[in-house]
Amino acid sequence: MMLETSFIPIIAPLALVLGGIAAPLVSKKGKGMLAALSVFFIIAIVANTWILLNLEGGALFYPNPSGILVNSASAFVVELTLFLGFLGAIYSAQYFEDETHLGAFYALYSLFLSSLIIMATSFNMLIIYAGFEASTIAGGILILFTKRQSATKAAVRFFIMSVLGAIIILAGILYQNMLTGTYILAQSVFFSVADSDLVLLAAIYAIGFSIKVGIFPFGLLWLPAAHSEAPTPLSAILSGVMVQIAAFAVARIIGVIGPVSDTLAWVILGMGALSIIVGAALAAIEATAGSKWSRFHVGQVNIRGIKRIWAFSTSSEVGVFYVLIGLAIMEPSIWYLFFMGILLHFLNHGLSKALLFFDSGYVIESSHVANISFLRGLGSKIGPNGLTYLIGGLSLSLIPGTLGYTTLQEFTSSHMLPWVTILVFCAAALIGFTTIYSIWCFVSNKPKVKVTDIGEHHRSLTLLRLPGIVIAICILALGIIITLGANNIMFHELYVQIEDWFQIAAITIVHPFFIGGP
Amino acid sequence: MSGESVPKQKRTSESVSLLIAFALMLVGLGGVMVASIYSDFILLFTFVEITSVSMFFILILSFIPAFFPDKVKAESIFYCGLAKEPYMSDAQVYRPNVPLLNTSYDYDWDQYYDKKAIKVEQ
Repeated sequence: MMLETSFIPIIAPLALVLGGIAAPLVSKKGKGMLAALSVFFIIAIVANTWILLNLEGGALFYPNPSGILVNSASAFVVELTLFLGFLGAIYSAQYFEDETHLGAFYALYSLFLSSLIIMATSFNMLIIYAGFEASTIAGGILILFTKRQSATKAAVRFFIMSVLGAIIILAGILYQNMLTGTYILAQSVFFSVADSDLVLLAAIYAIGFSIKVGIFPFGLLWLPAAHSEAPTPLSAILSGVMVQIAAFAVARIIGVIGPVSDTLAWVILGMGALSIIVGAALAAIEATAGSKWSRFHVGQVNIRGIKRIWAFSTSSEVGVFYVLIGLAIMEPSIWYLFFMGILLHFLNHGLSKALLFFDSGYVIESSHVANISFLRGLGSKIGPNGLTYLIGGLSLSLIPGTLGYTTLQEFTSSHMLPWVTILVFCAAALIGFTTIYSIWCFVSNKPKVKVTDIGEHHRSLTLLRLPGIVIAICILALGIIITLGANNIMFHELYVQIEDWFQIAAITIVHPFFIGGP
Repeated sequence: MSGESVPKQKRTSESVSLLIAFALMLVGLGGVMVASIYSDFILLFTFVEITSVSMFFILILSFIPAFFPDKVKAESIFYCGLAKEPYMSDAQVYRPNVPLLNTSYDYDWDQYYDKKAIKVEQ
C-alpha cells in the first residue's frame, strides 16, 4: 500500500461527531449517554487500529491527497487521541454530579476530539487551520463547564490567545500562498522558493502554533489557567492531546518547509529550553509555595492548586518538542531521529499527563479540596491511584522501567547537545521531586487550618479511578518492554520492531508515505 | 466654576482596551472591503478574523456588562423614598450567568474547596 483512496480515514472524526450528537438524544441519563457514545468511540478505535496495523508505511486519503490523509504518524497520533478521549468520556460520566449539561458536554467534547484528529491528519494548511479553529471554539466552551467565575476568565484567555495564534497562522497561510500558489504541505512546492522566504514562513508558523502549544512565554498567559480550571477530563485532553497535536503540526510544517537557518533553529531551541526549565520550576514552586509565587492564577484567592502543578508541568514538557524541532533544523541530515523522539515523547507525555490529571481529579473529588493547603491526607483511601499517580510522575521524570525511558534514551544519545541533556535532566529532577512531594501531601498532609466535614457527601467514584489504572498499566508494560529490550535483557526483537516502526512513522510526519528512507 | 480646571478623568484599562479593540475593528472592516474588491479569499479571511476578534472583545468588555450587569444596586431600584427598605438585598439581585451555558455560577468551589462538603476555619 502506497497512496490509496479510502473512506476509512474519515470514519474516526465522523463517528465522534455523530456519537456526540446521538448520545444526548439516546438517553438523558449519564450511563445511557456514555453507552451510546462508547459505541461510536469503539467504531472509531477499530477503524483507526485497522489502519495502524495495515499501513506498512503507506497512506490512505479521502477524497484526495490534499484532503484527509492518514499515514503511520497520523494514525499513531489519532490512536492515542481516541484512547485517551474514550477514557475521558468514561471519567466524565461520573465526574459531573449534575447530569443537566452532560449531553452538551459530550457533544462538544466529541467535536473537540474530532477537530484535533483533523488537525493531525492532513497535509493541507487550510484543513489544519480549520481543525485549529474548531478546537479553539469547542475547547473554550468546554472549559466553562466547571461553572466557576475563574473558569470563565480562563476560557476567555484561552479563546483570545488561540485566536491570536490563528491570526498569525492565517498570515503564514497567506504568505505560503503568495510564495507557492498552494496551501498544500509538500516538499516539491517549496523547491523553487528562496531560503530567506522559507525561514520567514517557518518562523511565522512556529510562532503562531507556539501559542496553542503553550511554549514560553505565550503559554504561561493561558495554559496554567485553562488546564487547571477546566473540568478534569478536559484538562487531561488539553494537556495530554491538544498541545501535543499542535506541536505535531509544527513538526510537520517545519519538516516539510525545511528552512536552513541556524538563527531560526536557535530561536526555536531557546524557546523550548526556556519552557522546559521555567515550567518545571513553576510546577515545583506551585506544589510547595503556591500561586502567590508561581503566579498566572485566575482565582480569587492564592492556592497550592493540585491541577495547577501539572498544568505548569505541561508547559515544561511541550518545550521538549520545540527543542527537538530546533535540533532537527540544526542537523538536517538526521532530522528523522529527532522526529522519532517527538513521537516517543508524544506517547510518554500524552499517557503520563492524562494519568496525572485523571488521578489529581480523583483526589479532588474524594477530598472535596483542590488546594493542597486545605487537603487532609487521604491515607489508605487513595488506594491504587496513589501508585498509578507515582507511575505517571516517574515516567515524566524519565525513570527506566517506565515510558520515560524513551525520552531518556533520546536525550542521552550521541547526537544530543550536552547542555540540552543537562537541562532536561534538571527539569526531570524537579518533576520527580514535585511528584514525590505532592503524593506525600495527598496521603498524609495536615492542613494548618481547621478543616471539618459538613454532613455526608458520599458518591461512587469508581469510574474516576479506572482511567488512571488502565494508563498506568500501559506505561509500565511498554516501559518494561522498551527498557529490557534496549538493554538486550529480554524482548530485544520486539524492541527492534518497535524502534523500526517509530523510525518509519517519524519519516511520515514529513512525507505522506514512507519512501524507503528519510 | 470660572478659573477652576476640571480634573482629567483617568482612563481605565477597560476603556483603553475598548479603544484598541474598536480601532482594530475599523481596520478589519476596511480590510474586508478592500479584500472583497480584490477578491483575495485569504486576505478577506484574515480581516474577517481581525474584525470578529475585535467585536468579541467589545462584546465582552462593553455590551454584556452594560446590558447584563453582574451586580444591581437594590437601592437604585427602590429609590425616591417609595420603599422604606429594599425588598431584597444586593446579594439577591446578583445575576450571574455562565456565558453560553445559561446557568448560574457555582460558588461552592470559589475558594477551591467544596463548601457544601467541608468547612474551613482560618
